[in-house]
Amino acid sequence: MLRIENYSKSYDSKRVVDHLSLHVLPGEIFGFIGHNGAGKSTTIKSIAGILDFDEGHITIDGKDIVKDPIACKSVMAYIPDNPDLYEGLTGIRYLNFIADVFRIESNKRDALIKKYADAFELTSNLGDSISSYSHGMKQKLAIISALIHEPKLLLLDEPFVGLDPKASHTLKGIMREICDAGGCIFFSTHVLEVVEKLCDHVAIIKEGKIVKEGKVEEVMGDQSLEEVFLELVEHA
Amino acid sequence: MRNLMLLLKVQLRNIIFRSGKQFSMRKKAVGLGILAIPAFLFLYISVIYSFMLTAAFPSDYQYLVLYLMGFISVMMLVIFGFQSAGGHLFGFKDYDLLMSLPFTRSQILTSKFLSFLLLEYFYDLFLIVPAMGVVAHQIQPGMLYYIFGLITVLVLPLVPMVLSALLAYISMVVAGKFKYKNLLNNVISLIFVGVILVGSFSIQNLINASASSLTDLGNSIASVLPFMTLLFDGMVFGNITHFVIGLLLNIGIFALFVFIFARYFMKLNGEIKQGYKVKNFKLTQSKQQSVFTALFKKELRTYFSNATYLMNTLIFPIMLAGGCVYLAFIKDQIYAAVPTYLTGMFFPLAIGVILLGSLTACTTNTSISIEGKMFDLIKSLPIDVKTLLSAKILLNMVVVIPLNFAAILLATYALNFNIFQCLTLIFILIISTLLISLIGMILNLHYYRLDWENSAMVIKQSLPVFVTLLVGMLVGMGAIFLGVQFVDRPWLYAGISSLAIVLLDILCIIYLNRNAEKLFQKIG
Repeated sequence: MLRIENYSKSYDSKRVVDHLSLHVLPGEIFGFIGHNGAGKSTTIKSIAGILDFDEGHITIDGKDIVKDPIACKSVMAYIPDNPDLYEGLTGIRYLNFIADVFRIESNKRDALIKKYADAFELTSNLGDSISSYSHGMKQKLAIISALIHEPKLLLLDEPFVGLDPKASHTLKGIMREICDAGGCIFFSTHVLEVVEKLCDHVAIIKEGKIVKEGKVEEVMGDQSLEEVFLELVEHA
Repeated sequence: MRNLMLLLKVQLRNIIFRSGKQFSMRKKAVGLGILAIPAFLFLYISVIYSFMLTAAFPSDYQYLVLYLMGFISVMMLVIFGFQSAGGHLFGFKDYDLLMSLPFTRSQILTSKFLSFLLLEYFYDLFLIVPAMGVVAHQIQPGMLYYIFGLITVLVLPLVPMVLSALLAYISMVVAGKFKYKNLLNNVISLIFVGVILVGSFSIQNLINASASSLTDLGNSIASVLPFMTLLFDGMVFGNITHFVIGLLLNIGIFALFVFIFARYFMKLNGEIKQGYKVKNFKLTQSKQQSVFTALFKKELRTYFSNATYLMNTLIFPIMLAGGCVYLAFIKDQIYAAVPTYLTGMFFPLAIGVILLGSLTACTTNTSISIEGKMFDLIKSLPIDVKTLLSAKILLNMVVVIPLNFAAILLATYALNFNIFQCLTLIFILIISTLLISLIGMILNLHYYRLDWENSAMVIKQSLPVFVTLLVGMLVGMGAIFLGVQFVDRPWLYAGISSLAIVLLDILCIIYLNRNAEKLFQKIG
């Protein structure tokens, strides 16, 4: 579903991601971990078509993000770590805007909005202005907006930051649901326990290079993911 | 097209509905009412100015007022666009969101340009529309004038917008490569605005010139702004060919720009976001300073790092100082031209001008709002509210007084003021700057806005800014008018003015002492 081949990205002369390659298969939850500034968000933004890049290819559902960005973006959703939403809109207006963009018909959108807004306990706040939302509520709204068009690929940058424990639990359940239905998820996080419990695959990035990648059990071996991660980022 | 409409709709809704959630209906109504006053006043001034220009021109050349006001409008649109393009057209807040959705770059860029265009129409409304009306009143044109006029109003901001976007981009990229990015950006902005203002003044100097110079004036404007004059030719002379060429030129330039810009859109936005990075940074021992000094330095940095903030407040003092430099150069000509019995008018007039200079330059009317989302953090710090507000007031004094002080010294030399007159002017400058700082502070404590996306929204479009500017202009103009009435008793006039200002200062200080803490705690 998501294929990254030899992806490199530089800012000025500084290379922040260096020849990164990885594949995410349908039905897979792929965890992407690394220290701050390792290149996680840059990679995710390039996959989402937000940042251009110097070398390599990124394909989503067989389509190239550079050559056919609209087709790629139509089947994926991106949730940033700190969502900047339209503060002048109400929650429901924002969701309707996203639904309009993805041409979701009324009955379906209403059902999906209700389903996910109820799941995240945001239904009663949808009529309020987004400017009155807390960080967590904005995060929930961004997640709902990503889910209502049933993407095949969900890109999440630190999705659990700001979410309460119940919402985190709900999100994990929904992530699994999406993958069981044939979709896939690529997300970055610093919460290694979540990767251990939720992910099928994991990649560890250090200074723009993948230092370890594979199935979670294979990467961990007989250690905890935390031990593996610390060992790799300190000594690799 | 459908996607473009969707984008436009959501952006307009966001602009219209995001403001004022923290205010009660009553406060909103009062705010709107107060905003309407300066809006009508500006419209009135614009109409009067156009009428004055037509009166100054021979009847055969009155149509040139349209070209002249068009020139001023285009310059203002470029300045406004230049100041506001960052945040609107580049590095906008919803860049990541929009780029991750299935929109083409052209759709995103066009929607941004079109919503920006709506803001430019606001300037159109105050500058070119009144001039069109006045010229129509004077030359009694046919129906075609009005039809072409309507189309002209709609297309005229397109090219200035392209120009301002290009200039803003260059300025942002160039400044971004340097350590003192914001300072450099401000310097570039000041130079750019200065060049435009000087250009505008030099054209206006021709207003009272002879008929042949007026023809030259028309030709000069046509050579600089052909995209505008072709449209006006269509309106005034019914020249349909010129109008159609003008229309195609305006729309063509805009479309070409959007097309080219869209191709490099991602790269350009990326470049702007990069900024300067220090190589081999090493920690050095930091110097401890008092809370007040730290706050004042923060205010100073905030002020000098924001080109819009800086230019919105300093432009009049800069012009005043520049005018006084000019006065110093033409000192002999002044005394040769003005009869001796009228030289007594200089001192009371100078009092009015200094009042105008100090009262129209206010930083405190925005100093709470400019904190934006940082306000909660500031509020959480163990800082005495009075210390915080004092730092904000001191900023106003420090940035406004030196330029006006220089203007006083130059005027003292040019107009032969004695030492007492000079000291009186300095005293009036200090107490009047303090007064507008206090008024701005009080207004911003009552009417604040922290949820802005682009700082220009609070610097240019907020209620305290309108009110302080209006008060400053009215009092300043009134003081100049009153000064003329006190030619024989200038010291009485200086005494009464000083006393009134000092009393108002004291009243404002008492008000802030009693209410500042309470008002401050309510914010957020």
